[in-house]
Amino acid sequence: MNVAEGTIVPDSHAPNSSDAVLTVDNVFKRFGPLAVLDGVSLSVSRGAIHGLLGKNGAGKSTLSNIVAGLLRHDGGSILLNGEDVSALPLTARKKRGLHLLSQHSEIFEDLSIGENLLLPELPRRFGLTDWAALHRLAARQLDSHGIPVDPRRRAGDLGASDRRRLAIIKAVASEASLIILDEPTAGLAAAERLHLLEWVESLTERGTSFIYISHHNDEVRQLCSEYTVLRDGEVTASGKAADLSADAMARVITGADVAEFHRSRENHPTAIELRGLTFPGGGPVDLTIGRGEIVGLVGLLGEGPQELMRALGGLLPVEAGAVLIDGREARLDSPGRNLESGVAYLTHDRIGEGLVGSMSVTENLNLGNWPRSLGWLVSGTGMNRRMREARGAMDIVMGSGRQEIGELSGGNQQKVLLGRLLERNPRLLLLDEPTVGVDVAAKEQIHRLIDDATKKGVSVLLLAQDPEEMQRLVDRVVIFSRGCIARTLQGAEITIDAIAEARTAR
Amino acid sequence: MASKKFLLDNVVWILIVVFSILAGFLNPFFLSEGNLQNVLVQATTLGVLVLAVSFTLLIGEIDLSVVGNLVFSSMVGAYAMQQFGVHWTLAVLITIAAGVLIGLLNGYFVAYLRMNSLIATLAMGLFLQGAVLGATQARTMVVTDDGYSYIGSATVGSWPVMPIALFVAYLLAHVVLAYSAWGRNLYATGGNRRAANAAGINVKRARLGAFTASGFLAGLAGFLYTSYLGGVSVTVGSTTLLYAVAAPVIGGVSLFGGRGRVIGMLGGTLLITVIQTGLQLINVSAYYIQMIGGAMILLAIAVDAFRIRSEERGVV
Repeated sequence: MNVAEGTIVPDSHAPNSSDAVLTVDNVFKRFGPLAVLDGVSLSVSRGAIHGLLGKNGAGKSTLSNIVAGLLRHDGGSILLNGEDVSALPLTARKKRGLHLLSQHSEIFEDLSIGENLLLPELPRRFGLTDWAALHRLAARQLDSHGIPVDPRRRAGDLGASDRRRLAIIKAVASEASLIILDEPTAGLAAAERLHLLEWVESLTERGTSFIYISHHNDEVRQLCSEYTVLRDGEVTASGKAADLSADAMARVITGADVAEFHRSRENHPTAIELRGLTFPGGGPVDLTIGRGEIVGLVGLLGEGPQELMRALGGLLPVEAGAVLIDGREARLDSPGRNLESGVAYLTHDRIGEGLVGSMSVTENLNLGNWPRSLGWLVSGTGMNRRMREARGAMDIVMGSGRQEIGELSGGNQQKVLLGRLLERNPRLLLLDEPTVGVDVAAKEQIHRLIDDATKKGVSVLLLAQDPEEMQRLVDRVVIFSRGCIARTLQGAEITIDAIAEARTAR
Repeated sequence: MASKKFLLDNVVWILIVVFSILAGFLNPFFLSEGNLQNVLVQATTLGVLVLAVSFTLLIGEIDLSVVGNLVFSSMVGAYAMQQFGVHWTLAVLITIAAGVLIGLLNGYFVAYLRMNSLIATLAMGLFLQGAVLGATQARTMVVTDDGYSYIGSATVGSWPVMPIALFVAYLLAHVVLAYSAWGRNLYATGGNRRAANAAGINVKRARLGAFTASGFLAGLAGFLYTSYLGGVSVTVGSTTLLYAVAAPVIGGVSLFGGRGRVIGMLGGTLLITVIQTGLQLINVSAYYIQMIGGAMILLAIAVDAFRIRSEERGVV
């Protein structure tokens, strides 16, 4: 058997169904032409926390969605407590004790904490909800987990960490045998993260098993007893976490097959100035961005960076201040106006806010910027010419321009979105998670495209969850705290550790 | 896969052919030239109303005031001729202008005040029909002007002129929706409003535009219907509204916005008209015609749901 570099062959880790809560055997999944999962097998021991590792686009979320029953797989089988649940829908798997808690913790914000915990089986009396019993039951559950909050409070008022805890308690209370946690610590401060992790660990003593998905290798090494690494839809390593050094772990996750690219950093003359910019959720922000410079924005969720980007993109109102492009004040009030002024925003929410799923690839590339003929008609030849050019320049893998956009892989969809913005010749490009849900190869290509744009003089603001991605691309990092710029990292200060630390510290 | 999609997209034309053969078998007159003319004339007013509703369906909203708008704007046009003796050409413009104004108002409610289109236009339709009933005391207003009623009554050779209006309206709608920047913005807005906005499309203006177009077409339908009847019928049946909403869906226009072709809207219109006239010709009681109409709409929505399901192929 040929073993690629950075691959750890599973040793004596043959699936042993007797003590396994979950056995995934040879699962396949394709999206169009792209194989997202290519024969994945793993097994989770009872009472274990099983780390699922891998880069963005490696297939972690797809696998967890398939295991939970949100997505249908194309081949292979899934055994839960020895029973084949492959054909069962989500609700049936839930009844058998399998729960998926995604990054967007599933709570009903407008219901009380108690209702959230006990739905859908609220205690009844004479056919009506017995509120006293409900609150008593909920309070007991919360107490037993050491979270003394009033179950009558609105769940939406809880902080991010407590919301996630609430969702986990709910799953545990319904006698879950396996809970899949997808990035439960994303966006939490360091102290909260630690607290949450310790609490999760204590839950295994009750016999609950977890699959734990995370970008943070240290978290996994600390928390998990066993692990599986996915790369490009294949298992590249699995085993006992204790046997693996931090270096080895990083190596199997990254792989060595994709040529990584590095930016050359230079001095940049000032091109863009933000003066006292105030927006909902932050400000005032003063920042200058050089011509061709990439400035990374770092901060906790809701601490300002994303809000700044959305305000600049025209998706949040600018309350005060000004944006100067080459010394001239830019008119900003709506996405359309901002695009005309040279400010373009690439959304993190490709499906919800980027693409029109009912339209073709070509139309999505030209959306809102139709090449015209006779002034009011859309020029088909103009659209096709842009499509040809973008396809060639960005290496978009697709059948024809008439395909619906949804048939393309995430990476190619992202290239179409980026191509749409670059067609506008922006001066300031706002990249909000430019490689979210994109495979490794496309990620490299997108990084190069961003780098090429800066060589043509485009200034860039970058927001990226992955500290490694940010470290690789940026010339400078500004760190937000409570809506304002607190610190700047420059030159040699820009390290993965410094960025990761800045993300979680206030 | 591709052939299945083709079949689903064109199921309406298959149904038209199947039903026509069936009806022709039961009453040979159904397949005669005279009945074809009849079908096309019947389809003209409905067809323009179907276009009106479709423009709003494409942005993921609905305009239920089209029938009220039709009656009201034709009353305004007729009133202008009767009371002020305006020339018929001006009366046509007044009729259509009244429709446009009502459409603008609907659009303002929905796009700018963010009122729910289903309820707002339902209320608007009730208001308009009530206003007409009140103003006319439910009496039919007779229009005697030859110019105004030319298009609804004239023939060239043995063929009525009226269907020309239908085809011109559909041709223009096709050009506007499929090829104009304005039309593509409607599809984009209906397909994903947030994405359209982020791409720089003025979404509010696009939504206002869809309702204004709907009002324009309802006014046009008002003119055509009055011209055909030779008067303003103050009690257009509520089934007309139902058919005007059902026809686009039968023809593949998505109720969620962003999808639908003009040729499908025409197919939906013709299918409904063919069924109505066909059932009349084979002497089915009017009550059963309504029942069969309802069943047809259910079938069409089932096909639409099937199409959506086969596209998603999800588990849930």
